[in-house]
Amino acid sequence: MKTETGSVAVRIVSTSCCLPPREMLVEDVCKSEQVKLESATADGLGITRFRVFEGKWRSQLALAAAKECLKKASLKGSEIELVVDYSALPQDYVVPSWCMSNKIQAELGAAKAFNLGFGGGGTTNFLTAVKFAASLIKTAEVKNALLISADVALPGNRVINPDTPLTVLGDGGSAVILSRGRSGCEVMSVELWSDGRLNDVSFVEGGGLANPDRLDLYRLRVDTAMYSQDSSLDTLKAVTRRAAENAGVGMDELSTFITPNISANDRESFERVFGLTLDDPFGANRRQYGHMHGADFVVNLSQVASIRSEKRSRFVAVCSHGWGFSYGAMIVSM
Amino acid sequence: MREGVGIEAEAYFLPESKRNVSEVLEEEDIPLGTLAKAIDFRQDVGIEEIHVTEELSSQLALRAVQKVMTKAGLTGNDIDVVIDFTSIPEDYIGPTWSAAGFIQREIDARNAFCTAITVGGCSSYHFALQSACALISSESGLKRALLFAGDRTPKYNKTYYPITVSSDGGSALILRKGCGRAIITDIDIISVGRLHDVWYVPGLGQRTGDREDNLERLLHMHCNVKKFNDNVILMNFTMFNRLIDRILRKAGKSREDIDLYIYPNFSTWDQDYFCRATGIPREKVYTRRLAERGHVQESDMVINYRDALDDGLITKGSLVMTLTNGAGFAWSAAIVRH
Repeated sequence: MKTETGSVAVRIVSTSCCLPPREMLVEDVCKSEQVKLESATADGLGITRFRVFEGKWRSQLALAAAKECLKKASLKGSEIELVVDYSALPQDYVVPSWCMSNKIQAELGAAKAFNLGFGGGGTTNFLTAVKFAASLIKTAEVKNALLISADVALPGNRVINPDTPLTVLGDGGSAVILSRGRSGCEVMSVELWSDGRLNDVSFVEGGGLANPDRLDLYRLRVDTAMYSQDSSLDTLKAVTRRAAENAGVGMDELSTFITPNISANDRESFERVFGLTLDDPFGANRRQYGHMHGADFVVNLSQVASIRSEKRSRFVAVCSHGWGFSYGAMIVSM
Repeated sequence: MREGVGIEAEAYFLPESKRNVSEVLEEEDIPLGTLAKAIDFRQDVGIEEIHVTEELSSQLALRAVQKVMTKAGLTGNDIDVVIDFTSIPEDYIGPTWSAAGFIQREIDARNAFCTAITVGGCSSYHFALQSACALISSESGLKRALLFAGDRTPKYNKTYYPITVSSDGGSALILRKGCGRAIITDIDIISVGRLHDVWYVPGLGQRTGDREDNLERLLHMHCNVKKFNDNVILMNFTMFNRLIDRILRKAGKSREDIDLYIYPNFSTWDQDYFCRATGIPREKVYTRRLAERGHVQESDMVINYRDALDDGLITKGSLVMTLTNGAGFAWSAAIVRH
């Protein structure tokens, strides 16, 4: 067994999520977004309800998660040296001119920190953020890094896509603290790969330079003609294998595979391609929260950490297909 | 500790078409008279012309990337990481999209992974340097990173009052582990998060209703002038001095050891204040083409470095500091041994 970190162990010291209290049923959002939901499609989604954020600034979700995360880690804001935003959806103001990590730094009194954000990779932004933060920790530029996200669906844009539903977006914020010299789950390796040919497989077409005033295009859409589930999952398996090799761990030593809570169909296909038992271990999270982008990993990782068994292997893979564009896999030793 | 990383090559692209700044200021209804510190923006900005285009920012970035790849004699296969450090809105809004994947496709960098730095204003250059240097020096399998930016301001939003007038353009650089040219010896960044919204682009998410007129204006850069005057103006040069002292201390150098300071092309008045406040002689601060080009966001760091090389002001062994303010909330610098 080896680690990419060499002699420096980078560990996940604490995790936290902030889920807004208001719930909404998928059947109700389908009515309001005029989506005809056949029972087979509903089964394929495997999402019953989700949380809805009703405030003005979505960064409140990240802030609440960050405060809880600091508390769990027994750290003060002043001990954080890096704040990294891994959100995937449009933020309080237009990104990259504005970045939530600055606001969170100020709110936490993390005066020593410098602030980063990574974008363009959808849900995989989480793994990108971990990889870069771990690098900054390994090179001794940072000791404690706080990673944050806040993802709130655009109004009237929860069912992705209305004509061929692939997922239903829930709102949520999340936070993770990575450190060296503290106890926690060790980040053994993170492997990333992108397929630029699919750079626009999932994006918001309106509101940027190309279509600045097209409110009708101000919505997230996944191009189903571009996205091939089987080939994407095959590629993700190869990326995961590389991550495992970099960690010096065999694929058969990985006890749990954490994926985002996109849909029941997505998880089942993942399990089939990866040769796993079809047990849908994070189904309860998906059914009640929907897909919250990077926060999905944090919810699912927290679940694994809370129920880890002495009998099972301690190695966990965290995998993201990024709709065939942005792939990532992380190996964690629990 | 960080392994040695150098800049293998750098390049930029500016569209041929230019506009007269006095016309732009009239068109954008920029106020007459003085602002803080008795500065008359129209008179003291010192920018006469800017480059403009109707092309999307990704195209400007691509042209700069193609130039740097040719200059370095590389193909897409040689690139391990692609990082977009554009700091203003792109073809499509972030963080949902960035031009990094588009660039990967266009140069056929099939081994690479792509991402975008989504913070920093003009300091995004240093945020990208810091991140890329840490990454490629800490991972044995990674050798080269392509960093790029493409900037096109929306119509009627060329002026960032009260700071500067912006040109459209793009820039790119290749970082390589073990590269003996332009070795990045130190990087330092100060973030002041409470100033996160001195400069911001509201976006369609901040519209007041579906009947709002002129939605395009929501993509314009807005300045909270009160917050700017009450904070950034007062602390800007104090922060620069703190940053310069900090990075020089890390590097074991003095201000006199630096042969050239690469500074952004904000305005004549800004440069005057910078030199006065830091005590750095004017001839050591490179912003030579301010009048003819204006400010190209974060790309100023790359463009001015390249121009200084072409002007013979940076030669082998020169010690150079690139430094900038980033959208009022960041101050950043790097020391480069060319």
